Amino acid sequence: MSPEKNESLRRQLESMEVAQQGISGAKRQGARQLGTLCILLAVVLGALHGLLHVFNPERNLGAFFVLCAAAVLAILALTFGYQFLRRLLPAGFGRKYLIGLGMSLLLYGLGLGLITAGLGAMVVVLLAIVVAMPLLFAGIWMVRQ
Amino acid sequence: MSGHPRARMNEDFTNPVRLSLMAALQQVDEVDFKTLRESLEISDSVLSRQLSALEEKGYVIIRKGFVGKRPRTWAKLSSCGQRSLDEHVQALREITGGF
Repeated sequence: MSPEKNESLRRQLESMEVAQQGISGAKRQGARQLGTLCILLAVVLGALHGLLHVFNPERNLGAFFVLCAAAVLAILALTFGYQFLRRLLPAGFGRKYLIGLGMSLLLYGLGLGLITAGLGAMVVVLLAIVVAMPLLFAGIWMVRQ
Repeated sequence: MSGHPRARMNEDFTNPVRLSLMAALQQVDEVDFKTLRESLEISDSVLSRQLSALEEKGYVIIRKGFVGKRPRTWAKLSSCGQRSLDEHVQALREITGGF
C-alpha cells in the first residue's frame, strides 16, 4: 500500500478519535444525569421501605396507602424529569441502571415480607440501606465517570 | 478471518463525516440529534443526510419522539452497524500497524 494511502487510513483513525473526544463532554453530562436519577430513586425506595415498616398496614392502613401513593408520585416525577432532561445515554449505562433498579426492587419486594414482623429501629434502617444500596452504588459509579 | 485486511474495509465508512458519526454513536446507547450535531460540529443538513444514509444501510436506528410538545430525534447504532464498524476499525488498525 502506498504511503499516501496509508496516511489517509491513519487520518480515518484519527478522525474517529476526534469524534469520540468531541462527544465525551456530553457523555459525562449524560452519566451525571442518570447517576443523579439512580441516587434519588435509591433514596426514595430506601426511605419508603423504612417508613413502611413503621406505618405498616396492620398499624395504620391510611398512612400506608398515603406513603405508597407519595412514593409512586415521586418515582414518576423523577422518571419524567429525567426523560425531559436526557439527551444522551452513554454506552452500557442503560443496562447498569436496569440491573441496579431490578436488584433494589427485588430487595424491596423481599423486605416487604417483613413489614409486619415488628423489627427494631436499627434493623429497619439497615434494611432501608440494603434496599437502596444497588441503585445507590450504580448512581455513585455513574456520577464519578 | 482470511485475506488482506483491505478486503474487510467498509466502503460505506470512507466518508470522514460518516465515520466520525459512527465513532460517536459507538460511545452511546442513544443520543439526540442536537447533541450529536454539537459534538461533531456539523450542520443540521449534513447530519440529517448522513444519518439517513446510514439508516438506509441498516447501520443506525433513528427514533422520533416528543419531549413535552417538542419533537426530538434519537439515534443509535444497530447491532449490524456496531459489527461493521468494529470490522472496519480492526482492518484499519491492521493495515496501519495498530496506530
